[in-house]
Amino acid sequence: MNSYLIIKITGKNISKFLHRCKDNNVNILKISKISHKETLIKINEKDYNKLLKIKSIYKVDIIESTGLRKFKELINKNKILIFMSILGLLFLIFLSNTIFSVEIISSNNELNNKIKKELENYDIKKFSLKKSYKQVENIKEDIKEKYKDYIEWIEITDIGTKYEVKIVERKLSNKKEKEEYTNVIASKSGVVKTIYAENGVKMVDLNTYVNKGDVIISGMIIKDDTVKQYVHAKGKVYAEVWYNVNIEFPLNYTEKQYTNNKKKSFYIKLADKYISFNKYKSFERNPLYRFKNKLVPFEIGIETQREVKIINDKYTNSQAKMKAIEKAKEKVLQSLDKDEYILEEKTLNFNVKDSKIVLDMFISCYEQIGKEEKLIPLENNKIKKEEEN
Amino acid sequence: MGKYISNYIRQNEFKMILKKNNIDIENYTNLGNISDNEIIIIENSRKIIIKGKNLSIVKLLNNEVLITGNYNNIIFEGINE
Repeated sequence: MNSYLIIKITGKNISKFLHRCKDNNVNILKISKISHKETLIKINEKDYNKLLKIKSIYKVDIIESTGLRKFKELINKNKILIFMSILGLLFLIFLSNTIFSVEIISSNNELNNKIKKELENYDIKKFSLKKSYKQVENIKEDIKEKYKDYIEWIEITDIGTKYEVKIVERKLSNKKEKEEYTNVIASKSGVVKTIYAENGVKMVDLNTYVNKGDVIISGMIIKDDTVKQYVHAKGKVYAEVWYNVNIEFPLNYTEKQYTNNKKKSFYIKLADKYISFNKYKSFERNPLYRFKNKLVPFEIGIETQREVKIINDKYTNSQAKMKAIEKAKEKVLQSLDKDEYILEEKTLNFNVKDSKIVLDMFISCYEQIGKEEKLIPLENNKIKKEEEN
Repeated sequence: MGKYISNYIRQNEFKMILKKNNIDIENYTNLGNISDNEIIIIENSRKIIIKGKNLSIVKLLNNEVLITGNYNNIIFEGINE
């Protein structure tokens, strides 16, 4: 890359200076006459020293430089800015390659802690540098191999400055489960209605009342007063179970009704406080776009505000009673599975107290009460002694 | 093709290219008087006098000189070699 200089020559009889240039082999690439005493010339940088030697009484001033020299001058002039920019860029690269949090997603806390410690051994922890794709893959493989009995699958995802580690826990194999000897016992008191025994010996008949903890399907197979075999008793036991439910229900109620009015609004959220232009008295917020800072509890965005009308009204006693019964049933149904249901419900007591009603109900349910309980095998002699006693 | 070969062989010969408002001279020997109305170019023993108005040299290399301005008279003095 060549460098050129634009020089202003000042002096009398410029043509004499041009003669000198010709005689000393100074190539002038461009000549622009300003006046009789002043002329601008463009020369190669390498001819500048020659020019200084022949200038004598002529005044030579560099006006401008182009090419490599100009580039060097620019760098020299802005060296602090360039240095700070490079430093800033390097700092940005450093920050964007730093881990600020590691989140492990798994329901098993014990496993989470183990994996967290393991990741720390591989330097995947807060304020350490991010790993390359290949390194992450290797770490995943190593952890999978080391914890092959505990984890089925592991995924480490790089999300900005955060590593998200998803773990799928390995379920215990059926074989191991089968090796455990169990009884199926009653988890609640009730009248047995159905028994589905997959393995083990039925100990009670249908329509028999059982107390909580009674063995319904036994894991001990006894023949001629001797335990022949221990098994993993398995099965389902459905029984009629009773509940006494006490419920209070207010006579006053509040209802939220949506109107057709809605509008978009700009909002700022600082911690839990919103700053926005509210048109409606009561409304629901639904953010459309939002910019959230992970480090500072600050959020900015656009939301849809949907107007709602709050209606406060009062139930009659009979209406409140109906609602209370529904609520009581709902409460019981929440604890039931799909194959379980309510058989019967009866109102035992009904009172109006202040601005609420108090209701006592009896609800009977068809419910699975069988629960597996670990069985510790006894020695044959011991069993016999126990039976003799 | 012939033109390029010819130019290549004769690249050290004196050459004067006249255009509307400028004259490009190659392989000259020296410069004579330079003024707004007259520029003298020397080529060996010849003297080329360019006359006109607002004449100026805009490029001055070892073997090339470019003159601009309204030239109206070019006088060749000396012996043709």
